Formats: sequence, structure tokens, C-alpha cells
Amino acid sequence: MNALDHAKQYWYPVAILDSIPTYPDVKNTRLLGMDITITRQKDGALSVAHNEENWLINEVYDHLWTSPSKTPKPIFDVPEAQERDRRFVPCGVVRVRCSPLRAVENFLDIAHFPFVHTDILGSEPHTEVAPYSVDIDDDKDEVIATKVKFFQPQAAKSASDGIITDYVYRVPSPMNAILYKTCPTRDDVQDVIAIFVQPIDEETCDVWPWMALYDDDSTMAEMIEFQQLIFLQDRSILENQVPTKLPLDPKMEIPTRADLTSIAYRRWLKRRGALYGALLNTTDNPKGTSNSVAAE
Amino acid sequence: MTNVAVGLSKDLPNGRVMRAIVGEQDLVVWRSKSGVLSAWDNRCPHRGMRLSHGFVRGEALACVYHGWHYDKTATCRYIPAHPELEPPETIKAQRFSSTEKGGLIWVSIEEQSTEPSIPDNLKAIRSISFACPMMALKQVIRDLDFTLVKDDNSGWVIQEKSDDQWMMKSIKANISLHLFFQNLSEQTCKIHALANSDCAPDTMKKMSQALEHIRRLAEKHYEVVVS
Amino acid sequence: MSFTLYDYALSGNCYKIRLFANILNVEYERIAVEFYPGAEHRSEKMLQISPAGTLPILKKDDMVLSETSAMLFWMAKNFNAADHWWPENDVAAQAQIIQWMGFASDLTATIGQGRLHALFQTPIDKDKIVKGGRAALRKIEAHLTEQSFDGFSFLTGDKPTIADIACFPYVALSPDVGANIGLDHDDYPAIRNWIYALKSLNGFIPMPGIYAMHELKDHEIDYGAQKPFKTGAAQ
Repeated sequence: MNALDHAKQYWYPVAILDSIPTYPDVKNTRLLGMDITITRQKDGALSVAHNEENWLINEVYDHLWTSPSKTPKPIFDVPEAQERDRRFVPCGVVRVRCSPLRAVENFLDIAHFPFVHTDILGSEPHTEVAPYSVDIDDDKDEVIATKVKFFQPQAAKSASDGIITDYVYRVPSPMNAILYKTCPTRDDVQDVIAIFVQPIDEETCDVWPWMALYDDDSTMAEMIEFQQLIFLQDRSILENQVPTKLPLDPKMEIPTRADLTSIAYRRWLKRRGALYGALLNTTDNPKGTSNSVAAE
Repeated sequence: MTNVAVGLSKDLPNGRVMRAIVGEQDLVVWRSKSGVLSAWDNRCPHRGMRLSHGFVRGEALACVYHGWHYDKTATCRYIPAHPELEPPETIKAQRFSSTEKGGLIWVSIEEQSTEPSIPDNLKAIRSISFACPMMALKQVIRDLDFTLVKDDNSGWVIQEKSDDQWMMKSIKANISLHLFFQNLSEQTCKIHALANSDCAPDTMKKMSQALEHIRRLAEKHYEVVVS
Repeated sequence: MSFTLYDYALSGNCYKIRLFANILNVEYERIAVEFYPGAEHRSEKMLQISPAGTLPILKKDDMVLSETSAMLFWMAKNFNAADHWWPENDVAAQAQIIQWMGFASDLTATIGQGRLHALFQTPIDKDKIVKGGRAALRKIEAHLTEQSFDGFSFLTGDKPTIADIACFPYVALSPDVGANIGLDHDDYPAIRNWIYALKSLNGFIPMPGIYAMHELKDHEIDYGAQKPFKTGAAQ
């Protein structure tokens, strides 16, 4: 199975349900290199079409999802989406000129917080990444990182002082990732933040951040703005990684112990053949060769 | 290709970072706090981030993504995620030879490089980018017909000293403008311009404006050719 | 509170006001407005505050300002900013400042619009916007180059004015619009040095697309105290 055929088996977000234009306006976008049109019919029913062929749709997690496959893999479960006392916050979409896989990998990374999200999610000298655990959950076929801890000066909109924040990361499908983090206002629950990635093509993606929070104080505008601010800081990085695609050859980039989640994610992608947006061999990009592997 | 001029020394003060392109090679060019110049492959070996987005800390260049510090030998010396650990010496960025002469920064991406040839005691004017092929730009300069300084009707004499180094001379006004060409792509190039050392600020401004004039002509000329 | 700012974190125009307030060490009340995706700035509620339907909005009692030039001017005067921000007795300098404040609007109309398109796919005439943005960067580059011949680091002299604040965000954010279209800073050494000079000012704060000033947090690393990486540290 080639990379594109593999990618076609999944569901992808293409719109926020509340912001799909009313009939007869349509929304045009792209998915996996294919033009698609999103239409809200007169009766309110939604449809997604490519070359006049209707694709399957799914309305879940505040977004409209679609798949080019007639028999897509089931969409991943976010149980917290059923907890009605959470506030659900779709944050819009941001276009990034990078591989969809690079966007997901960056979302799984904490070591960049002091340098990219300075004084918000991290700050010097609190740069150390303590050991944490990464597993591949064979039942769910997910990458899971647990016991991740990091010092954060302002962990969320509702946080005022620095705290050690705990994280759990889940990668339930190649282009979606979810994190669970310490809720700054309550000890008994965790906030949920996700990125859903719409692959425009192998080197361009639209990223839809989504949150399910316990936050009674912040306005919707404040919560959305906070997440957009964080993601726009990441965008400056993502558009300047070379090569644009995610290299899966361990010789191409040098991970350390802090990158365990990334290492597991790359191996998991390679093993399942999820290669859309990936570089398999250094020979694909001889310029990108590096000289050693530090800590593999 | 040997040594290629990639910028003016004055445009890269101590503690600063810039990006340069030589042939197909994307480079980070940076100067440490004490003034040591380096040119490396523009890519952090950790996650491929362009090092030209990085920042200088003392004698090290740090990547803006995770703050990995590289010393002047391009060896990684500090990984903030593991502050207590000494990074293996195998983590290195790829180095190229760089030097400074005559007010210009020169980089060679070849093993063998010859000393750049440039007169001493020139005054740096500016680096300027062009959205046209270098050939088109050179043609326009050859055909130039304008006077730079009032009361100078003698026009300019162009001396093509080498492929990459030209001199425009106005005998009457006693001005010489040295042009160093840098090819960036099929559609873009740069000129690094210097003048004779006794040139006053007003004349420097006129030279800068003359380069703007040349750019308007060259890009317009190229647009006509293309369409 | 000294004033109320209706603000959006990703807006370069809003950033001008946050930045100048921080430089002047002025506290204010900040109200986040959901510019995107909600277009809250064009909601009936916001239009009643400012019919211009734009952000930022600066409100002080009955005074409502929607132009950033007016806000920067008011802030400089009202908070007794050092004279160089708006030279009180130098009419020629004031004229230059007003001229560059007008140019800042050109930056918004080109680079600002191009950036919104790059982020959120807003419809634009991309070719026109990119050409306009490049022309604007070239103009300011040529000017800053000439300034440097006189030993000046800023738009109108050796000290920054409100015109530098007004022009800074969209010049600094131009790479957000896209690569290899003449809007990267690689082509503009005078702009790079001007950005560095502004980022070095006391009170500088970053915004997404403009990195924090990590250079200034100089800290010595005691390389000798480090322990070697264990082989297989990643495992």
C-alpha cells in the first residue's frame, strides 16, 4: 500500500460545524491533494464531495470530519467529549507550510517550551525534561506518553503563577494528538487539548486546535486566543524545519531521552506504513544527512 | 566558485546571526560576542530547525527550537533538556570556511579555496537584492547611461575585473563603486557594494540611490524580456 | 486603570499598543476580542463601542480611538514618555514621524493582509499584496541604510519614536506571509539591525512570529560540571 492509499483510510477534520456556510454558499478546501467542497443543504444536512462523488462524513468533537475511503478506520475516541460540564473550544484553523506529521510531532514535544513559548509554557532556567514513560498501547494501537512533568510559568489562561504541570499524551491516529494536563483550578480533573490536522498535501497542513476545559472564569475569546497564541509560536518553527517532511531514518536527526515520544511516534508511523508526509530514507534527501546519532 | 561574498562585515555586528545561500547550500553565518565569525549548514542536527533563527549566547550559537548550544567548532556543548549532561562530541553542525577581507564576509563551500581578491580600505555601502537573473542585471549595468553626481557629465567606466567583481568608476567625480555579485537562484541575486574610502555620507546615499535605480531598471528590463 | 484595550494577541496592530505600553511601563485593562474565527470585532456589541469594526480599540472614559497612530501619540503625551518618542519642540521631526506613521498603514494593507491570508486563508489578491509588501520593505530598507550612514539606528534619528513602534510589527512579521517571495529578512540587512535595536529596548515584549530576546538572558554554562551522556540514553 502506498503512502497516499494508507492515508486515505482515516478521518480528517475539514471544518468547524458551527461555521459551515449556509445554503447556497459552499466551502472549498483540499485534503490529501484533492479538492473537496463542503455543502450545507437546504434542510441543513452536510455533505462533502470530491469530483461530484460524495464522501462519508462524521460530525464529532465540534468538527466536520470526512474520509476518501468508503470503509475508513473508526474515528478515535475522546471519552472526555461526553463530559458535559467541560467547555468545548474549537479554536479555528491555521495553515502551516510543513508536513502534517511535523505538526503532530511538535505538539508532542515539551523541551521547546522555554524557547518557543517563553514565559508562558516554559522559561529558563527550568529547562530540564525529567524521565517519563512512552508506550505503544497494542489494544488501541496508540502511542501514549505518561508521567511527563514540566515547569510552566503560566500553564493556561486561568493560571497566574508557575506550577509543575503533569501531562499525558495520546497519538490515536497519525495526524491527531491529544494531551491531558493539570487543570490549574481543580485537582481532580485534567484539561484536554488536541490538535486535529487536515493534510492539504505532504508539505502543507491546516491545523485545528480543540480544547475541552474546566474553566469557569475565562471568556471564550480568551481561551481561543491563548491556544492560537501558542500555536502561532509553533508555526514559526514548523515552517523552518529542514526537510519539510518528517524524516523516519534515525540517522537523519539526533534525538535524546527528552525526545522519547517523538522516537516512538516515528517508529509507530514507520511500522504501520503511515508515510504520507514522511521521508523514509536519507537517499530521498541526501542533503539532510547528519553525522551521528547521539542517544539512540 | 571558491570564496563567495555573502554580506558586508558591518551588517553583522558581534552577537548576531544571518542566513546566506551559496550555490545550493543554505548557510547560517554568525558572529560570537567576541567577534569570531562562523558559517555552517543552516540546520540543527537535532530536529532540522534552521539555525539562522537562533541566537548567540557568548561564544555559542543556540538553536531557537530547543536551545541546543554549539560552540565555534560547531560542536554541541549544551542541551537544556539535560542541563547536567555533557553532549557527545559527535553532535556537530556541518562547518564551512569563512573569512573576512576588505569589509566583506566570504564563504567557501569547497574544500580548496583561494584568498579573495579585494582592494583594502574600501568603505562599505550596502548589500542589495534583485528579483532578476544575474545575467539580466549585468546587462543593464553595462548599458547604464546616467550620471550619479551633479556636474559630472563623464558617465561611468565599467571595469569587469572578474565574473563576480566589477568596478564602476567616475574619473571626474573621483568615485569608484566596487560591485560584488552573489547569485542566489535563477531569479534572484545580490550585489554587495563598496566605495572608495574617502566617500562622505552624502555620496554614500547617492550610491545607495544609484543601486536602487539600477534595480528598477534591471527588474523592469527583465519583466519586459519575460513577457 | 489608565485605559482599556480591546485586543487580539495575533494582531500586529494590537501588538503596537501592548509593546508601547510595556515600554512605558503603563498598566491597562485588556479585553480579548475573538477576531478569528468568531469575527467578534464586527459583532453588534463591538460596533457599538467602535463603529470602525477594527482592532485594537483604545478606550479612555468617553474617548474611543481606532487608529493605532492616534493611540501611540496619545500614549506618548498622556504618560509623559521621554521626549524622543514624540519630540515636543521639533516640528521637522514630528513631520517625519507622521510620514512614517502613514507608511505603517501601507504595511498593514500589504504585509498585514498577506499574513492574514497565510494564516487563515482570507481572500486577497496575493500577487498585488506580495509586490506591495516587497516594495514597502525595500523602501524602509533603503531609508534605514541611509540613516546608518549618518550613524542613526532608527527611522528618524538615533533614538526611537512612535513611528518606529508603528512600523515595527508588520516589518518584523513579514516572513509569516511566505518563503521565497522577497519577504524574508535575509535580503534586508538594515531591517535586521533595526529589528535588533528595537528588540533590545527596555520593556520589549514578543508576539507570535517575533521571537523572544533570548540573547539578553546571557548565562554562563559550566561545561566542566557536566556529566557525560550514557550510551543509549534514549532507551
